[in-house]
Order: sequence, then C-alpha cells, then structure tokens
Amino acid sequence: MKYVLKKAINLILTVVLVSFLAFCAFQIIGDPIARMLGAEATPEKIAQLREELGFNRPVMTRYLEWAGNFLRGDMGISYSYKLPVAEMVLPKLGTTVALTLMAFVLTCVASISIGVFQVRLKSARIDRLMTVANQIIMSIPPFFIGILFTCFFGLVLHWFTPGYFVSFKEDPAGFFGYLFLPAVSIAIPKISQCVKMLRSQTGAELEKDYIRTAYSRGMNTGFAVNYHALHNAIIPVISFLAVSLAEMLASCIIIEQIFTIPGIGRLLLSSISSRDFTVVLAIVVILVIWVIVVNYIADIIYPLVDPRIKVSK
Amino acid sequence: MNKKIISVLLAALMIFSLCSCGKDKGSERKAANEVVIGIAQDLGDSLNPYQMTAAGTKEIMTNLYEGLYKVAPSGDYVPAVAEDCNISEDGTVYTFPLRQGVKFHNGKEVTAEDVIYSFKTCLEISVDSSLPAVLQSADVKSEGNNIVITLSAANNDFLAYVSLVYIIPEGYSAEAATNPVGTGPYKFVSRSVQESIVFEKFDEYWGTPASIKKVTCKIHENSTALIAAINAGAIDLVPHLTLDQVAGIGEGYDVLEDSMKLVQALYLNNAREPFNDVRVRKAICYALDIDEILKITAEGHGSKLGSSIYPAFSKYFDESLVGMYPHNVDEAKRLLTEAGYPDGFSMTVTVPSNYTPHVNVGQVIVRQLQEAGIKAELKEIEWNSWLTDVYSGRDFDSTVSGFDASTLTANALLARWTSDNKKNMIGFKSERYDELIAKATVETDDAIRTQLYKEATRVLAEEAANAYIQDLAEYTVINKDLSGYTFYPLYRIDFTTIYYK
Amino acid sequence: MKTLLKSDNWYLKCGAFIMAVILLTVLTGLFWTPYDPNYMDTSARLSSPSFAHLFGTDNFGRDIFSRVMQGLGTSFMVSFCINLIGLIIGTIVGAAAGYSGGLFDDVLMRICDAITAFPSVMLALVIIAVIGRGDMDIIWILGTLFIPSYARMVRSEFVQQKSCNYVRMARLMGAKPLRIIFVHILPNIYKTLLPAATIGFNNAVLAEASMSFLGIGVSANRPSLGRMLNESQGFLIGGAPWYAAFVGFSIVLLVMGLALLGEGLQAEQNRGKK
Repeated sequence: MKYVLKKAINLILTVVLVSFLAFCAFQIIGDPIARMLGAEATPEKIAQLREELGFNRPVMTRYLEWAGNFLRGDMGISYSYKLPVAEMVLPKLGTTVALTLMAFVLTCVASISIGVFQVRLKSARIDRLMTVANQIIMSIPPFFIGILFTCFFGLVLHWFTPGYFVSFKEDPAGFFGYLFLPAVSIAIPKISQCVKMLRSQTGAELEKDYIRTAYSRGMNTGFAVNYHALHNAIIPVISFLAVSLAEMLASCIIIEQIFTIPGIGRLLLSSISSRDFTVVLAIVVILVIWVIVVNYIADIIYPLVDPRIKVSK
Repeated sequence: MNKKIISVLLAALMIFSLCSCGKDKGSERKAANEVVIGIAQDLGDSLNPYQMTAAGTKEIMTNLYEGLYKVAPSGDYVPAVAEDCNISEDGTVYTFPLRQGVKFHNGKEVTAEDVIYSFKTCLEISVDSSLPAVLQSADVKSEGNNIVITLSAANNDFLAYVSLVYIIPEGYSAEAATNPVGTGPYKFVSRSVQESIVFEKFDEYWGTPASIKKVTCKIHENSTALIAAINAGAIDLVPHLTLDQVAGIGEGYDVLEDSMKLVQALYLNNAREPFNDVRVRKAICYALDIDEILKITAEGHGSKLGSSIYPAFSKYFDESLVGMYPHNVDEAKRLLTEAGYPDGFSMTVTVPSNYTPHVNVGQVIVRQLQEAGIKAELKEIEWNSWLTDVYSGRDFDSTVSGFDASTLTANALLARWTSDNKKNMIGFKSERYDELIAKATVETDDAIRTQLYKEATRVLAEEAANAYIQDLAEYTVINKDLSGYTFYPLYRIDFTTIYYK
Repeated sequence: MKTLLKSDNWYLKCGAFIMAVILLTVLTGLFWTPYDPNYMDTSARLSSPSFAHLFGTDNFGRDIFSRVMQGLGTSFMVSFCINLIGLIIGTIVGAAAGYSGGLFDDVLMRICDAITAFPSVMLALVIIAVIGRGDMDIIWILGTLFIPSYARMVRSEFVQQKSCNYVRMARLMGAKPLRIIFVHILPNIYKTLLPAATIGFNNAVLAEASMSFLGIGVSANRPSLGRMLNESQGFLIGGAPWYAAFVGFSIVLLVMGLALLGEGLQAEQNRGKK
C-alpha cells in the first residue's frame, strides 16, 4: 500500500513539473496571437487581444488558474478552433488509445506465439532462417512499414482506402478494420524484437543448472522448454512489453500522419505548429500521465509474474 | 501452436477485409444527392465571420455567410441581403433597401437591427485591417426598411467592403465562432476537428436554391491519402491540387485547370542592404529563370507575372510587364559588379514550410541565384514564425510567398506597397507610387483610375520591388457525374452551382 | 581483421560488412557523386531508374542516388554528433554520480529515470516545435535526450568498479578522484560502452529519420533520408513509387548494419567475460 501511495505521489509531482515546464516554455516562444489574427492584424488589435486573453499577467498566476481548471475537467478553449479543448481531445484520445492497444495486443499475441514456435522448432535451418528474417524486419522503421502497407494493401491490392477513416460511432467494424494495418505497422518492429528476446532468453535458460537437473530426471526437451525455461524467459519479455506500450504511443504520432488517422498525435503536431497551446498542454499532460501510468503498471505486474522479486521499497 | 497463429492472423485479415468493402459509395451519394469535398487543410480557425483568418476557411464559409452585397462569379458585386443599392451623386451616401423575407438559418427573419449589429460588431472585432479602417469613417443607420450608410469621403471600392460585412443575427457574435448562423444557401450542421465539416442545404434560402442536399468537407492533410481516397471514389470534388497530384488520379473524374489567384514572388526586403540598391534587385530578377521554375515545379503551367497583379484582374493586368527581366545571368552579374558586389553576397530565402508550392519554388530559386554567383540559402520556418518574424517583424532578406486579394479591387493588391502602409513588409518606398495609388483611390472616372493603377504596377516592375514569379496553376478534380462547378476570380468554393447530371 | 574474418560471430561479420559499404558510400559522397545532388534537370523529372540515374530522379529532376549518398552522410553525421554529445556528457554525469554516490547520485538518477521514461522522439518533437528549429538544432536536442541512458549505464559500471581492488589500491596510493575516474576506471569500462554506443547510434539514426520524416529535422538545403522519404510519399501513386522504395531501403540498410554491429560487439564482449 505504501508502495502504491509513493508511486502515486511521484506521478502527481511529475505531471505538475512537466505541465509547468511546458507552460513556461510557451511563454518563452511567444503567444499565438499573430496566428490567431492572421496576416492583416493591426498592432492595436494584437495588444487588445493579448489583454483579453490575459497574456500580460504573471506566469505563476496563470499556471495556477490553468491547473485549477484542469482538475475540474476544464481544459480551456482552443485558440484556433475556439472549441473547448476537452471536447476536441477526448474523442481523439479514444482513437489513439484504441490504436495503441490494438498494436499492443497484436504484439503480445504474435510475439509470444511466434517466439514459442521458434523455440520449440526442431529444425536448426528454419530456426536460422527465422532469425535472419527477424533481424531484417527489426530494422524497418514503423513509418516505412506504414508507407509500404499503404502502397501495397491500399494502392495495389485495394484492400483499404488510405485516408478513408470512419469513426467508431459511425461504424465500429469499419473503425477497427481501418486501424488494423496501422496497428500492424506499429507492432511489427516490436514483435521481432520480442521474438528475438524470447529466443535468446530461452536459450540462456536452457543452459542453466535446473534444466540439466530436469533432464537428468528423465524429462524430455519439449517439457523442459514449455514448463521451465519459458516460464522464466518470459519475465523480462513482459517488462519489455510494458515499456514498449509507452514507445508505441510515440510511433502512433508518426503512423497517424501516414494513415491520416484523426488521433491525438496529429492534433498534437498541428496544434504545435499553430501555437494552440491550450491544446498542446492538455495533450502533453495526458501523454505524461499515460507514460507514467504504464510504467507504474509494469512495476506492479513484475512481482506478480515473478515472486522472486519482492517490492522492498 | 503454429495453426493457432495462422488462424488468428487469418481471422484478423478476414475481419479487416470485410470491413473495407463497400467501395461503391459514389452512387449511394448520388442517390441521396450528397457531395463529399476533399480539402487539404483543416478549418483550424474561428468560424466567426469577422475572425476567420485562413483563406481556406473563408472560401468555404462564404456558402454560409452573406453580406448586403456579394461577389458573383463574374467578379461583379450583386445584391444579396439587400435588394438594391442607391448611391448619392457625390458617392458618400449609400442606401440599401433590405430584401423582404430573408431568413437566418435559425429561422429568424433578417431585420435592420441585425444589419446594424453586424456592422458594429465587424468594426469592433474584425481581424482584417483595411475593413475596420473603411467602416470607421462610415455612419450606419436604419430608416425603416432601409440601411443608410454615410461615408466621410467617397470610396469607389465601398461595395466590395460591404460584401465582407457578413450579416448575422443580433447578439450572435460569440456563439458564431463554433456554431455559425448566416443567411447563405447552406447551413452549418457539425464539425469534427481534423476529420470533417458538414453543411446542409438551407431550404428557406431567399435566392436560387442549391441542388446538392448535403455537403461534407473531408479533411485530408496527407496528399497520398487524399489521392487514394479520390481513386477509391470516396470523394467527389477536390480543389487546389497540383499537377503532380493530378497525375495520380484515375478515371471517373474531370480535371479543371485554374489559377490560385495569388501573386507569388520572391519578396525582397527593400529596406535592407543590399536590396535597397535597385541594381541588386534587378540583378536578382535577371538571375531568375521563371520558365525553368514553372517547368520544374508544374511542368510549365502557371501564369507569369510582372507585377503585383494577377491575370484574373484582367482590367488592371498589364501583360507587357511580364517579360521585363528575361533570364540573363551575364546581365545579372554585370549589375551586381556595378552595384559593388562583383563576388556576389550571401542571402537567405525564407519560405513558410507548410506551403509546399512556395518551398518548391524556393528550392529552385536558391539554385538559380547560386548560378548567378549569389550565395543563397533556403530557410524554412513555420507559418506562425513567418507571420511574426517576416510579415510583422520584417526580419528577412527575401521570402517566397503569395498574396491574395480579399476583395476584387486593385487596392486589395496594390495599396500595401505604399510607403506608409503597415502591411508594406518589404519597406518599398517610391513617392511616385504613393502618389499614383492615392490619386487612383479617389478618382471617380473608371478609365482614368484603371490607367493610374496600371501605371502603379509599372512602377513596381521598373523598380524591381520584388522578383515576381507567377500565379500558380492549380487543378480542381470533380466527379464525372457532377457538373456546374464555377470558378471565381477570388478564393472561393461555391457549393450552390454544383449538381448531379 | 584476420580474427574478424575467421570469427564465427556472424552478427559482427555482417554488421561490419554493411557498415563498411555504407561508410565507403558516405566518404565517396563527400568528394564525388554521380551528379550534383542539387542539380535540377528540367527534362528529367521523376524519371525511372536507369543506367544514367541508378535510383531515378525526383520531382525536381535531381538524381536520387546522389542524394541518397549525401543523405546517408547527413544521417551518419547527425547521429554521430548526437551520440557524441550523449556519450561524453553522459559519461561525465554517470561517472560523477557513480563515483560520489549519496544524495547527488540519487537526484541525478531520478532525473535520468524521468527523462528515459519518455520516448525520445516524442520529447524531441515537443521541444523542437516549442523552441523552433534551426538547421542543426536537432543534434543538441536529441543529444541531450541521449545523455540519461549513457549516464545510467556508466554509473552502474562505476558502482561495480568502485569496489574493485585496483580502485581501492589506487585510492590508498593517494590518487586523486579525477585521476581514478579517467585513468583507472574509464579504460576498464569502454568494452561495455562500445556496443551500447553502437545501439545508441542506431537509435539516433531512427530518431533523426523520424523527425525529418515529420518535416522537423535538418533543413531542405541538405539532402536527408527522412525528409526524402516524406517527400517521396506524394509520388507513390502515378508518379514514382521507386523513389520511396530506394530511400526507405537505404534507411533500413543503415539501421540493420548498426543493429548487427551492436549485436555482434555485444556477443563478442559476452564471450570475453566467460
């Protein structure tokens, strides 16, 4: 319990720190007013709007005000869209979370099945072939996979229409159908990293004493692999998977551009360039919470899978 | 285990391919009388009629908003919310009788109070700089069903400005930013950030009713996705495409060529050394090979310019200015030597990174300048920084950019280069030019006015104020089943004229 | 060299081979390319691969092969500098933290933990967008973000080495801390650092390519692989699909070479330990 509490405090402190830093950063680079008023703005209008939006007040007061509102669920009004930020961000967050989770589930299912399949292989030749293929696939960055997919499945095979995204409300099946390929593009490099890890870990475990003991007791290879080596080899893989959940979010930002998915990453990029910093701030804070919570979950899962690790601190 | 993986993958693939069927959405839309328009930029903007800043927002929202007068495809200003306009002889009193039975999208009828409120709000909150300046000197009153506007001095372009004062219901300004209401042929239904914005035909529109019932503008920032969506029949109409994009479009679409209606130039900071020397500016003009620029960026399409007027302004466009500085590297080098730069000099060419056409032209220009011995380097900056640093801050050597006209008047393009104009970002100074523009603004005789403006454009060319490049060619792709798409001499997409054959 | 050829460490062999080819290409690209990479040939826009243009030409009529040669150089140079910053500062921070220990160590490592929790591309994206971007800003921004991972590694090595006998002896002999850090401990941990630096290099290449792909990496004056890939996207349909293919595969090759090399070095080091 103490552990959970300590982590929670840590989380809050980090969120406060990051949001404050982001808040300050925007003060340094200037305000969005020129963009809001366009090319034809007069200096008087600029001064007037600056006053209206309260850009002349001290940073600290404005930060506290923002934080107070944020806690009440009011993320402010977008400077460019004039819409409430919460209204803009939350639906997009859903899309991005769906994409990330799809990629994550794919990674888990595929990497563990493929990994176990490879470990149990009898043929050394196929094993080597898989290792080589894996090594090559691992080197393809997600955005290039995305481009290859758009080109091959979208433009050659016409299995899907790039850019023809439908929202979950309109057509749930179509929504997941559209997110499938982007999720695969995000998952592929992770899958191959994971398979490789599983393979080398099992290899290492198989050389350990307890397996030899098992052999001497007359156990066959299949059994040794399945019940002993794999069980131990999978622990680092699980922590790897948990960490990659955070990295997948970063891949999302790029993949959303390629497949034109209206997710949080695209909104982040466009808001950054339009200096719409109420939106940027909200997204940054959400991303921070996401990353920290994911790491936190990984920390909790860890001792559950491996009783040897005790939560001491 | 092996089988399991395969079956899982197969199942996933099947679900996925099932979902992506249903390609023949085009005929479905035709039956429902709906149109999907693809736009490359989100309307990341206020929808308040006086606070829209992006050209991309304005060109669509004009389907929804109307002023007392509005612009017709011919370029003339025609009555809209007003029925007519009577101008007093000295040109200072405008009387607009209101059209009877004009309704807002919320069902309310337009009254004189609404009009007066709109003029007042526009003056207060408009982000345009020239419009409030004009309205400042105008006194707007209602006399029964008439709106009477008294100007402190005659202004030949006044009707054009009136067309920008969109009429909204009294007290509605704040809400208009997200839920716009106007008197136009289409009404606002919904918008979803970075996804789409939906309009519906307004049944109680006063004028010729539109044909298409529902118009959805889909936002496609990614060009590949946009083209793929067109090819899959998911989109019926896409404006503002480049030649390279059109090359990827398959059958079933008509391609209409048009121009972007803006003055693209290498804008030179006249106030800064060495560009304050007219010989240097001329040398830069000679160094540029406009034909090559057009060839590389658009296979030769696009109309060359010689001054700050594009050909759609046929009245003021002077063709003889186009060839004033033919490509001539020797001449450029001679002028540079004469100006005291025999070994050239260093300069940066700033481009707004989000406007691919400007970035592309910038890349070619940099190379051409290098060939003439000028050490040019490209500098990409974000649009926001362009506005603050280049446009307002005037901190730049040269920049490739484009200026469009907010109204169909020569002043919309030319007035900015008078020496005391706030928008004169290049710091151009010419007494003769100032004089010509001042004279033209108050001159009532149309023929003389036109002549004065033409002379002013000649001054810009002779002084080599900027290295003028082109009005870019652009293409509109339209579903073969659709017809009636009309081009305007301004930035505008008109939904009303489109219909299914 | 001989041991490399004879070795059965295939990772190292393949990695070294690929990297040698790429390095040769980059070095050649510094002095000679088949065409001026910025020369625009109006008559040869988007021409398909041929003997004249091995990889075809882009939408400006520029030779893609020449641009890839220089683009590889840019990627290489940028990633190298990023790593150099990360490695040098990371080593100093890690050494200081590991050697001194205590509260100083605690605070430094907490900060490092916080930074490494975030994917570097995401952080860099926000920072670059906020600060604005100069031509080479990406180097120091990504470089800074690479510091913590090096610092953490160096620190843990230092904590291990600190209790080793040779360090104790040195201390007994009155050697100053700086001398112990640089003369005694550092030479002993470079073997751990080498494979890690290779993997870091790999990450830097990926990060730089991603950023340039999003249009916020190095400027358009310099050919860059990520940027070229982004531009090539517009020509997948109807125009020139090979443009994206050649550029993309160059990135893949670079990443693969580095990954293999890192893997090989790691294996070599593990073998040494046994």
